[in-house]
Amino acid sequence: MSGELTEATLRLLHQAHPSVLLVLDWDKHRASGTHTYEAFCDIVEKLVELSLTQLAQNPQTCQTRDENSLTEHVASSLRFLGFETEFDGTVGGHVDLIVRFGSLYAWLGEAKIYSSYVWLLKGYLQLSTRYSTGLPNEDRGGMLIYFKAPDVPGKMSTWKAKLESYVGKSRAPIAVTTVARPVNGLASTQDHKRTARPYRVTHFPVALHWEPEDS
Amino acid sequence: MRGLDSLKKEIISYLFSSEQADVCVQIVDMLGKYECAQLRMLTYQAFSREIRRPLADPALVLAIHFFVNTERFKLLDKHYLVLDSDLSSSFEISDEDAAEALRTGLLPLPSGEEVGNVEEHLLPYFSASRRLMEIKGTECQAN
Repeated sequence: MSGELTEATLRLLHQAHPSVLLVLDWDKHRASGTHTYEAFCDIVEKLVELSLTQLAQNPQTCQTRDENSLTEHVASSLRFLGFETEFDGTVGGHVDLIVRFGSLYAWLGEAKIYSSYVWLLKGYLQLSTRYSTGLPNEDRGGMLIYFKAPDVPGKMSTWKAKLESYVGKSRAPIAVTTVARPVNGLASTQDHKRTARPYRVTHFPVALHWEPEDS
Repeated sequence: MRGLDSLKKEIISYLFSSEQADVCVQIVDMLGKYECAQLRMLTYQAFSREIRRPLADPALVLAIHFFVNTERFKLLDKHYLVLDSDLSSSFEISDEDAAEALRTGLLPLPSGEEVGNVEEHLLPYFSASRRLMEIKGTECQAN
């Protein structure tokens, strides 16, 4: 077995590949039985962010793609990373992404291309009142917000204010905070209407604006 | 091998014909080609040599784990050997004992010493899963 990699050496070799490190983390949780819903969601959300970053690194290829096509990239990444991911861009009436760990844990994702704040609000309400159950081990999700328009920080700041005013007035109070990751992202928590348990949503902005001024 | 050929088509579809699907298909081809005895201990090095991708290639490591962690395509089981305190001799460890070491962060070595740097003493390797053995047929199942 000389020259073979230990788990530690493998991590060192892939220190610049966060997706590998996250998969090894989840692998360790699974192998040792130390997995929790929080750990599952934290890893899924980091992997979603990495996948969305790949899209943002190539905005010119995203201009003609619709929500399903963009979200298919995320689904494909998550599946390759060993996370059971349901995605069907051809059928309406259900959430865009469901990431599961067997029947134990589920994380839901709703995707919207930004066209207006009303459109984003529709996505948030679909996620929080139509698709999610609010049950334990299913009470976290994400909004994947694709911005083909410029100024993501400004738009996310406005989205935060709109969420607080629209949703907070009409339903249970909502707490919305800025987060370090994803960059320019938000985390919102609101009691789920069905179960009265806190439902947490991470809002992932994806900067896809492409308008070079050199030609 | 018919079962593996249809599995490759399923994988390509499941991964939306992405580039990553190509690495997975290469691994299925390798597993199809190997004799049953060879499928009892496959190291990262073995995959790297056969697939002709360096160990530092994330796609290689991720594709191997795809076959460990994806229930629908579970062709591999992951196990460990233990490197003793001299870091040169290795010994078998049961999956249960390896899990215990990963859970507690403490690993008793064959030399009697107990170490806390568990991951520096665990050498991962892979073996054919029950599903792969079934696909490979009676020869593998008899062994």
